[in-house]
Amino acid sequence: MDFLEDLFYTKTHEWVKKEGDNRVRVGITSHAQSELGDVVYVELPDLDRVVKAGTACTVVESVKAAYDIYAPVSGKVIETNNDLENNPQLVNEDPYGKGWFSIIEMEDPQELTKLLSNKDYEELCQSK
Amino acid sequence: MTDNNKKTPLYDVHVDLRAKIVDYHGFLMPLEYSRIISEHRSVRNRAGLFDVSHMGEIIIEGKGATELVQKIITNDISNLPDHKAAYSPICDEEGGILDDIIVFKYNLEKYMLVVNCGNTKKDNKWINRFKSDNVNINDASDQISLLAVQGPKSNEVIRLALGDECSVLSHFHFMEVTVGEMQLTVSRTGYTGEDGFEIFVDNSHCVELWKMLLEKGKDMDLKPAGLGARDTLRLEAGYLLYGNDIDEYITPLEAGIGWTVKFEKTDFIGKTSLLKLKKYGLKRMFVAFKMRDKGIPRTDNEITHNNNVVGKVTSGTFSPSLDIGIGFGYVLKRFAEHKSLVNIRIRGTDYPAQIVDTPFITLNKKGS
Repeated sequence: MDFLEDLFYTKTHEWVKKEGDNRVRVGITSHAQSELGDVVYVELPDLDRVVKAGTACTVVESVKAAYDIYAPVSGKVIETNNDLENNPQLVNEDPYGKGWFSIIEMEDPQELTKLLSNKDYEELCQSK
Repeated sequence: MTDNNKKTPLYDVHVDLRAKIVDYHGFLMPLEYSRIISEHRSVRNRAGLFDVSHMGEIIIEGKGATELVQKIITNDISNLPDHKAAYSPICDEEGGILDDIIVFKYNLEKYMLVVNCGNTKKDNKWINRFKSDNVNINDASDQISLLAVQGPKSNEVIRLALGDECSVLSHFHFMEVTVGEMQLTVSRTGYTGEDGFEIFVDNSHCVELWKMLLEKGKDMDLKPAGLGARDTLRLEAGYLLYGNDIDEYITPLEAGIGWTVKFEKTDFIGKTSLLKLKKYGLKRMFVAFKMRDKGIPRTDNEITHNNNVVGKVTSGTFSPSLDIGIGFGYVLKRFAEHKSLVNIRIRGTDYPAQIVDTPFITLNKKGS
């Protein structure tokens, strides 16, 4: 399983990448995509939507079922990955790269300190 | 997952193949070995191997066997030849579907009922209520395993593994064959919409048979396929799933399988109620539908028309063959009859869907 060092993680298997003082890119982890199976549809949040950390903001559908994906931080959605509309399988193929979901402008950058480090997340996955 | 879960003889083999294991009606079964879509395509294009040993087998033997089977099923097997199988619901007195089964007729005094795993105990108890002294009923589910080889190359796999005679069986026919030390019942049946075979084997030889089939099927690219692909395949083929699409509160007439209810047959359980229902008309009817564009229907989604709820989804998935959402459900009768354009309410948004005939895809049934 891949775990990238420069990322922050959540217990609900989202990753967060800092891209500037208060901007983050978010997606789901390799572990998460593997658990979901074939991703066939991603319902992304509307642009400018204000999301709260820990609340559902994206839906990922695999062949089997639909799953809620939670906002790892609070803030405003300023960009979403339009490529997922026609190529949802990017979430499986490249979860940390082309399979990203959205860019959020954080309300409070301090929230990042509440997230898991690479090491903590790896331990979480292995304890299951 | 607890120790209370049942395992098929192939459980360790599935784990070694790194299958994702799920609890299916108390059985620990493989959901997928690789990915559902690739397993689905293997079956549609070449051949897939399924462990479906969770299915129940109830053997009915004795002088009164035919009479008992005829009483409990709605279909009519009086003209069924020996070594042929037939699909039928088992109904209660109200016409509600207790199970949908495949009846294997060995001869007038021996039948095997292949039942859904979640219903085995209930069926066994129900059938025993109508048994006379000249019949023996044996639930052999814990001794018999079942493997399915499905796909356009399946007859080639069967020919190499089990011999010419098995590979030329006609659709829904079956035979008994001995291969090495294995005594098998082989039928040309399945649940995928493809040409295919199902093989009943004693638990003690199940792993051996699985390995032998994979070995012989190598050149046909035979691949293990899990319950995930089994579900997408059966939906595309238009086959109902007990517990989702049918249950004790639905009759065969509503479920679109009225052809399995033979009213001309002298007597069977549920006949009076079903006749009454037929006379006074149905309120709701089974439909299959295909999304117009976006949206993947799921069990319990509402079916709407002009903002009114007119029905409910019982099964839904993403169809790997059609690359679009498909599903089954029940709607008020007039919407089914007019093949109306309806909507499926998914997370509060209505997505348009067209009511269509099944199967969704062209079925490939060799041996018919």
